[in-house]
Amino acid sequence: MEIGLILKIAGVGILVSIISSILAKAGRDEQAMMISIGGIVVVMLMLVEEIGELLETIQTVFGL
Amino acid sequence: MEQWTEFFRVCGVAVLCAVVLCIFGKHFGALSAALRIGGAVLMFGMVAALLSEGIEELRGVLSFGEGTAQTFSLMIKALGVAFVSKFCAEVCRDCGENTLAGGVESAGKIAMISLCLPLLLEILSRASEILDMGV
Repeated sequence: MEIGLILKIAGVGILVSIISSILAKAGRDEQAMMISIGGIVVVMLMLVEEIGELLETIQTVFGL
Repeated sequence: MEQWTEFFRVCGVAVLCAVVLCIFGKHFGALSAALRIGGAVLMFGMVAALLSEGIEELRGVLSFGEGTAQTFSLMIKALGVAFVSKFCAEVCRDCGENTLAGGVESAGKIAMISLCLPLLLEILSRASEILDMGV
């Protein structure tokens, strides 16, 4: 569990919002939407791993 | 001292998330919820790892009989279920899903009842033994 997770999610968010707004202004709304969805998928994959690790820790600590 | 270091790390993570969300929140869209969840998962993970030492020490101190050890283990499991169900319910509420949060809380309550049921049955059987002896 490292603090870098927050910075990674924030970095992906900033990148996705910049690229989405550039594509939206260029009239490519569908591609902007796909970039947004791609960013969400990447972040969800990172989060699922961390949530799995957290639940394993809780199982070990509380003996569940 | 390690506990204080972890506590300050948790505070740092919370402040970092809050600041990032304050500045970039309106541009992130759905990712702001992901950032909030990520921050909460990280903080909970940092604190949960610290708990293990304390729980082991308490287990050693309070295990002066088989019955006590079993009761203590049950208590810790119930505490874990309570923490997990509260955490998941809060995450669901943060995403605006109150129904899912209610479902998680109900599942947590049912899990705790099923954990405590053997202890409850033992208490009832001891009580009936005492009542039979009294009669």
